Amino acid sequence: MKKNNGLISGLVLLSLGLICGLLLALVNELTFDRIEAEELRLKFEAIEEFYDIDDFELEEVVLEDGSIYVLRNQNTSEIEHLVYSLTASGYGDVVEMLVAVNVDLSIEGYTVTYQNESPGIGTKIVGNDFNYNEADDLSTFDSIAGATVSSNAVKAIFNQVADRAADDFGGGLDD
Amino acid sequence: MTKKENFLKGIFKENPLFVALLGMCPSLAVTTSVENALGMTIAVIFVLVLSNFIISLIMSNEKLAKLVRPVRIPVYIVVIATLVTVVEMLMHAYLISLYKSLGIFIPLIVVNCIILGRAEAFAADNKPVDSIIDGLGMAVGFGVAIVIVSVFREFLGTGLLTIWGDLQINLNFIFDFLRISPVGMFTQPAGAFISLGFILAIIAAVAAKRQEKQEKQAKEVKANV
Repeated sequence: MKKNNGLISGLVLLSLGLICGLLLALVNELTFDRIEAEELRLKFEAIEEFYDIDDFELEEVVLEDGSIYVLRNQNTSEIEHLVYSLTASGYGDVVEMLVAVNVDLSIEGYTVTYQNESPGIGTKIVGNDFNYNEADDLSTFDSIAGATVSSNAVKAIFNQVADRAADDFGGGLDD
Repeated sequence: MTKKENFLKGIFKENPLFVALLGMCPSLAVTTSVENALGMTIAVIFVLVLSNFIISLIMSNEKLAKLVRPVRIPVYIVVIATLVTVVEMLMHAYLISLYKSLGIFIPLIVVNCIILGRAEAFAADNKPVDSIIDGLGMAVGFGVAIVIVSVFREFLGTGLLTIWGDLQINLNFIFDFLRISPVGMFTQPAGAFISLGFILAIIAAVAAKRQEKQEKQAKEVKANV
């Protein structure tokens, strides 16, 4: 009799798990589109800090650890700007940044879109001028004193841009 | 116990953070800003009230309770984890900046001792309505406590109070008047422990003073009699 009770208890737990799973599937169904739209809105808001999206054809290229937003001329379809959305390991979590690069490899700007660094120390990377002006030249990079790990995360992201920007503009993305 | 007493015990007498010292991990981690503390409070209210209600509903049915009792802890965890995941998805969809700010501490509500503790200590043995009131009181008590800690930490650490989104109170003029700078350490993990220690010491001092006063009054009454 006791054995049967144990089995029934297990079945009750299984049933509860199934009900909870169904509830989660329902909530996921209801929120999935909204979550995707919100994530995209945040990205677009950040890109709009550099360029007016309406003036270009916007295309997203998904990378292994990020993505590239390709802004093409609406008439010629030539790539005019690239906005890299990349991540690197920081102190508290990953640091995610957008780096906007022009066709002449000059840096239009960069912004931190996600970070969970130490308040007052690592968070200084938000809005900081790292003196990064040319996509393929990191010799002028200025770290933040006292926030080495966070600065290194930013530098790692800039390095990723430096490694591929010239290639991407030179047809690497079209290939 | 009246319904009012049931609600108020979570805020004062049995405050989960200041009295029972439960749920310390997320409390210390998210109290870097008032906004984070408020966001965490909303999430905990939702999870604690609903988990208490559902668990009480399951356990108040005698037949079902008999079957669930041997596997009650997994049952509690399944219920709590489902509610936390629902909160996480809703927050991601409708409060995305807060979701990003709270990060890993939203899923960690699943293992918050306050939620599991109330499920086992109260909801399992009480009626659904009382369990809802208990959950609400405990969650509000937790919220009040983490908001107090966050005000302390954010003010001393940055001179600001971030209430919600762009609504920010700049109190740096106090530091300017005193000719000192905010102490950034208060926004660090060490600052969290120091802040909580200070607050607990103040509460203990006030409670001791109150008790002393009551004892003095009692002695006076005795002497007069």
